[in-house]
Amino acid sequence: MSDNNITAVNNDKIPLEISRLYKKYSPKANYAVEDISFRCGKGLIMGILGPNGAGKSTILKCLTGMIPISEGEIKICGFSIKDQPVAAKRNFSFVTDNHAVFVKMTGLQYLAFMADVYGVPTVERAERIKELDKAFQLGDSVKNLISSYSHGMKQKICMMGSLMHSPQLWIMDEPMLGLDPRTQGAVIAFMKRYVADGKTILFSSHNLDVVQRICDRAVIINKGRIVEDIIIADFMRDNPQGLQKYYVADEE
Amino acid sequence: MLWVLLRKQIAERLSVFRRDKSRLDISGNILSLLLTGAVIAVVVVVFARFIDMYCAIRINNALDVPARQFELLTFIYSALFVFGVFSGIKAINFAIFESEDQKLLITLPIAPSTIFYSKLIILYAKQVIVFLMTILPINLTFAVVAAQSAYYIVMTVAMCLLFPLITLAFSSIFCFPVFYLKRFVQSKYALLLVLVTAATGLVFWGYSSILDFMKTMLTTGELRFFFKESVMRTIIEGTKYLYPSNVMAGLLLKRDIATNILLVTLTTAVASAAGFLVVNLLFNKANHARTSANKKFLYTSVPDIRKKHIMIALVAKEFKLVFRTPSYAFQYFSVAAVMPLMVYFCMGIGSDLLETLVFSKNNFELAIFVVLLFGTLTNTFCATNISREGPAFYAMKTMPIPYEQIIGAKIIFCSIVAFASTLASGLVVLLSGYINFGDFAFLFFVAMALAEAQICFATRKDLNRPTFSTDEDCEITESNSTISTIIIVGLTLTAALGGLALFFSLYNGSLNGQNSALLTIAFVGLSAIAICGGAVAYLLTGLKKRFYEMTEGD
Repeated sequence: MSDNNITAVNNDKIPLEISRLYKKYSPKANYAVEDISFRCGKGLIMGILGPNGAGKSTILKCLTGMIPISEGEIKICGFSIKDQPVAAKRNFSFVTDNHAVFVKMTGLQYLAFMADVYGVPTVERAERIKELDKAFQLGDSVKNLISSYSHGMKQKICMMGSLMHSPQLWIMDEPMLGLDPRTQGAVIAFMKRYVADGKTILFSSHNLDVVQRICDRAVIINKGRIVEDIIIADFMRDNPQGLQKYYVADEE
Repeated sequence: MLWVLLRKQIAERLSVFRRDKSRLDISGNILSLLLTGAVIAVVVVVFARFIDMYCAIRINNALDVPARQFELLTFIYSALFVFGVFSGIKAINFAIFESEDQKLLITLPIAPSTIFYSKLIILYAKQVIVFLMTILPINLTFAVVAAQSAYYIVMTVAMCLLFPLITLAFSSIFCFPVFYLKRFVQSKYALLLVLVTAATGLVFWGYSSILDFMKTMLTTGELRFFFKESVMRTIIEGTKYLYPSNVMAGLLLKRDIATNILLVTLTTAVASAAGFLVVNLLFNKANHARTSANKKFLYTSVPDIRKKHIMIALVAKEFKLVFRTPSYAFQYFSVAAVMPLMVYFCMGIGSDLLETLVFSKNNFELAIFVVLLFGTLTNTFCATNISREGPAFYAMKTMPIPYEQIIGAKIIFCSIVAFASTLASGLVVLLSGYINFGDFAFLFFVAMALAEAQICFATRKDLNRPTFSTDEDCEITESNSTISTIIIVGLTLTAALGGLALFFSLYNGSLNGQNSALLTIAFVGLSAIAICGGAVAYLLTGLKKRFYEMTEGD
């Protein structure tokens, strides 16, 4: 399949497969992440947890094609991010932790731009924007320049933009950062509805409560390696103190 | 507390030496030094000649050198005073309203006047350096040509210290009204863009008029005819009202020393007191107005959300990014819009000069030189093609857009601007009768080839080493080594192609009277194709690898 094929959306394959991922930032540097392997099935919410500097963001950057991988393979809906980056990227969208958004556009222009990027048909756009606005409640602010938005509003418009094409895999780096409790609730509700439609969500977070509440699975990263890959429901049954144990253990 | 704030500012200024050495803009600093040196040299040479001519002017056949010297210094100090007050207002406004630290400082338990004066002291030091570079060359030239005493030299040094003080005192009175005026005008963005474009054109027109006047005066020696008696009477009358410049000029020339010292002291004291009063009244108010500014720009028109081709969407994104960032819009769109005007003025002066000095009509070669020169200055903006996107550039990498399209959209956007400004400039030269249609077609071809070369080279250079702003709006406000390199390379190529074309035509023309156009066309045309080809190859070599490997902190 051509890498630039605009219709390269694959609903049948596994949303995310990472095998033996290694990444170092320069030839002489140590590995930032090493031997990372996991798969993420459909209809799941999966969390990536770990202390600061553990390698969470590096993994997310590798799998979204922001940075090249040193060794290993990442496949998104069957497309290799290394060999078929454009086709792979049609199947996911990424919300960064630093509101990487075009601040000189209005919210609406940004959404239209993202729709153009992902080839969303004109007939679907208005309805989609309405739907997302209902979920994220930007209201009339969507007509304002993004540069005038607050931290939380920027986060909302980033999420809305990333959802314009209803990606198979929705990836987020610290999605709850800066959101007020009400918006967090709305985002969580949206996430649950989203996976109910067979889509997949992968996000990194320090908010253990959110991870425990909504994730089906979580991989715990420390010092660039996977420490554990857990099913949240099973884990919570066996560990009443919750995910906090990984952070306490790290501090000790 | 004042000392604490001063120490903070000094530490910030010195932090430049702690930066990554490879990030230092060495070429840019050298270029700035060279340009400053060149400007000072030109001013000194022209001014020295002007002093001689002006002081030799007779009124009613009577020579009065001291009076002419007084008038000359008064007018020069008036110009410096206006420059000092304006640059002071700009610097103060930036320091207290636009600098990022102000947001934090106003939340700390520090008196507003302390914050203001701590910044003013640093600004004073900066202004002293600026005035050392302006007053010293002018005053020393005057001292040498007009044979002044040691007293004059001592007073010159005193002026370098005193002048920044007086101008900053005046600036602090006007900085708040200017702040409010600026806020009002900024709320009318489209109007502001038109005004700034018009002002840029006007400034350039004024500058070229002065150059044209000087050229006429110096080449024809008609200076004395311009400064006829009625004009001189107006000048003499005018100097009486040019306060405080006439006091300064008087001090320098040993006129009424005691009275003038008293007047200067009084002026400084009154202006400082007024400045203090204004600061205490308006500082907090203005800062609160700034921080609570409603930055919402509600667009009443419904944006077009119909599906567009990805390239159109990307080019439109580039346009919005530039258009909606005032500094970018002025740097790029205003300069591109004014370029034909600049070309027109320079062609007028250059063509006359060539005809007068070398008795030769070389408008075709001159047009190549001038259009390439201004094209280079306009297209230098492309040196931030990647950087101005900020962290959003990394987000672009996660989108399903091939790297060729992301980079290609940037090239297309810049090419559209270059096409419009080059075409308009070429048409101006054609319609003004300097060149014929064939020359115009060639000029357009060469200028576009060079513009494309500059755009490709600048974009790749920026991709190799982007400088992302940490500012909330991701705005690039400082020059960097990529920008300096693009200017240096652009000017060098302009000098090589345009300058050599001129040289060929002058050399051949004087040697055997042959039409040199063919040689120029062969040399310039082939060189332009080669340069453009080289730049495109530079852009494309390893582009994919670089695009995907580029990471934050690179």
